[in-house]
Formats: sequence, structure tokens, C-alpha cells
Amino acid sequence: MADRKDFETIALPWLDAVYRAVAALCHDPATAEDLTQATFLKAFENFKTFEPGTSCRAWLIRIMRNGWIDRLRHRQVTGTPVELDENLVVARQEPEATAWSDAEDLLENFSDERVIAALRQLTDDQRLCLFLSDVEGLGQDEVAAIMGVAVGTIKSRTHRARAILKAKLEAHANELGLGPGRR
Amino acid sequence: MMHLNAEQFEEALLDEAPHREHLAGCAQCREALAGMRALRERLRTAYEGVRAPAELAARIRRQTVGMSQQHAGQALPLTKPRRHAVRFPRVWRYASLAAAAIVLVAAGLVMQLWPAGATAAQIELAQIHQQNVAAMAAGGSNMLCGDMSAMRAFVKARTGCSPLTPCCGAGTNVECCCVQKFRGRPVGCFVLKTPKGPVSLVVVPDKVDTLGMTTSIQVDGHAARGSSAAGSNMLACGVGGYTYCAVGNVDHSQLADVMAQVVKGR
Repeated sequence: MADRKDFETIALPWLDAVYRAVAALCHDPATAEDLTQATFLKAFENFKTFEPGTSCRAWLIRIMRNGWIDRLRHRQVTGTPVELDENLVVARQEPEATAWSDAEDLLENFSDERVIAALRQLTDDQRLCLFLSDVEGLGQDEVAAIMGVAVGTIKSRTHRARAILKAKLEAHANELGLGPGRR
Repeated sequence: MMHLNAEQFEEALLDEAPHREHLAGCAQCREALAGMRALRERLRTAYEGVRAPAELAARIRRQTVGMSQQHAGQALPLTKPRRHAVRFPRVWRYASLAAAAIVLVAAGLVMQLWPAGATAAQIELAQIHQQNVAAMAAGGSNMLCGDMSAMRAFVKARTGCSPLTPCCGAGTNVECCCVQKFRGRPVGCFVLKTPKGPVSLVVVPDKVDTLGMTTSIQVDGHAARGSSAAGSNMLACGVGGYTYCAVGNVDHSQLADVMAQVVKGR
């Protein structure tokens, strides 16, 4: 069993970061709290396997992601519908990386909740990639280690996620009459 | 003119230097990159206010203390085991191998029937039961024992919840009640004496599905879920707006009996 003081000094300061990552994945606050708690208890049980000098935040988020996948698998087994993985979606409409004039001004029109709601429309993998890169500011190699894929995959996945998120927000801006040419 | 591709845009977001020349001469890529930067910044600020509930850190601390104590208890036996140089007859050794094989198969079956999947909620329920048993053994200063209607009033006054209580009989009695914390909220607990050992009946406002219990069991026509965590078995069933969690170091069939008595108490 790990030294509790070490665990509290090294791992527990990342509680908010892990909770935010869980909140990016699941929409229900009770599940978010439960998964965060389960992640830290699992991390405590396995704290001896954490390598000092490496990123504890990335290690915790990897544990959290594995826990999330286990829950999705369980839901699949019990028949609760789960989101489709991006790789299973055939012929998804890919938004192009077009220019976005006055993006900063336009984005200021959206509430935090609206931005988070738009992010939730992405697949789990896209959402987590974008969240870890942009919100948590993790390096692409760290995100690749968490997701268990190559750095190149992370780059293309994050880029695709960014383009889809932008398209969702643009669509919402048009609904609000804030789109290009309407302001 | 060739524009930056997906990977190059991601690289440029982190460090513009390798693509500075292209960006200087390409307004379209420059503008696209500025849009991506703005989106990244907006995402970051959108999550700035998202924080773990204040009580969560304290709850994790409490649980790690409990896990450390439990582990220390297991790791440090009170007496040093003696070494025996006894050589058992060959037939005994075969018998013990066969017994070990049976135990492994049985354990496999049990794992199949009662998958671990111990979520934090289940560990909390197990700890509540352990605390109840310890409190009973110590005289139960935080517990109210005796009259059933007084126990109901006690739980209602402290949690606002008016739970069902089991019909007693066949060696099962509601001994005491108390209020414990589950997921940071006060919840009512009844401690039952059953022929196989004490069982805690924890009444929580959470839905059964949020407790991560995996095995479906029918109790008198009600759907219940079973699981095992931190050395205790548990069974949860939603009745009348509350979820009743029977937790104990007894088997699931005994817990199902207790739950059936709760259901009958409607």
C-alpha cells in the first residue's frame, strides 16, 4: 500500500484536473464525482507503480480513461446505448479547416455552458484529445500515451475535433444571427 | 499555393517557428490558425470554473486512511507464523491439490456471478457497514437502538427521509439505526441482526444505476443489483423513491432475504 502522505502531496493536487477531464467525458455530475473518486482510490492502490519524475496528472488521467472505458463496456453489455467511436462512423461529414474571421469576438458571444455543450457533441476520443491538449495544455506525446495511440494520430484527431467543434459553434452562431455577414 | 495540413496546423499551434515562412505569405492559413488559437483559449476559459466538489478531496482522504488501516491490519499479523517441517502423506497432498482446484473453480464462478466492479460508491457502502459493526461492538454511542417508531423518527429528523423498514421475524431484527455520510450527504442506516450476521441497510437518494452494481437479481418482483466490494457483499433495490442498500459479510441470498422483507414493508 502506498504512503498516504506521498499520495496526498503528489496525486491529490490534481483532483480538479481529473474532475474536469471526467466532466468533459460524462455529462452527469454524480457519475463525474463517482468516477473521479474511483480514479483516486485506484491510483492510491497502485501508487507504487507511479514513476516519480513523470507526469502524475497524465498517469491519473490514464487511470480515469481506463475506468471510463470499463463503464462504457459494462453499459454495452447491459444494453445501455453508448456513443459510437469516431472510427465506426462511416462517411462523417468532415468540416474543412477554413478561415474564421473575428473568431475571438464571435466566441465571446457564447456562454461557457454553450462551449462545453458543443464539445460534448464530439466523440469521446475527440473530446478527450481536444480537452487534454487545449484545456489541460498537455503535450501531444503525453496525450498519445494516455490514449494509447501514436503522436501523429493525436495530431490528426485533435485537428478534426477542433474543426468539428468550430462547425458546431458556427452553426449555433448562425442560429443566433451572429454568423458571418449577419452581424 | 499549398496550405498547411492538419498535422502542421497542430504543430504551428504549439510552435509557429517551423511554419513562419508559410504563414507570413498565406493569409488564409494565418487566419485559420488565429481562429484555432481563439477556440483553444475559449475552451480553456470555459472550463476555468469547473472544480471538483469541495467535499470530494476530504472523502478521498478518509477512504485512503481506511484503506491504509485495512491494509496494515492484513499486512501485520499479530503472531509470527510458525514453520512446520511436517511432511503430509501423499494422499493428503493430492486431496489438498484437488481442494485448491475446487476453490479456484468456485472462485471463478463467483467472479462470474458477482463481478468485482467495485466503484467508489460500493467501497463507501462497505465502509459504512464496517463502521456500523464497529460502533455496535463499542456500545453504539452514535446509534439509536430499540423502538422502531423512534428509529424512524430519528432518521427522518436527521435526513428528511422516511424510509421503509424491514418486516422482522425468522431470526431477523432491526437492532439500531444511525446516520452516516454517503457521497457527502447524510443518509439513514438500519443495522439488522440476522441469523448469518449483521446487515446494514443504508437508505440513499441515489438511483441504483449510479452505484455501479453489476449483477441483476429479482427480489419479490423488484429488480435489484448485487456486487461485492472491500470484503462485503451488497444488494441495492430502488423502492418508493429511495435506494435500499443491504450490505454485510453474508452471502447475497441472505441480503436478498433482508431486501424481500423491506419490499414487504411497503
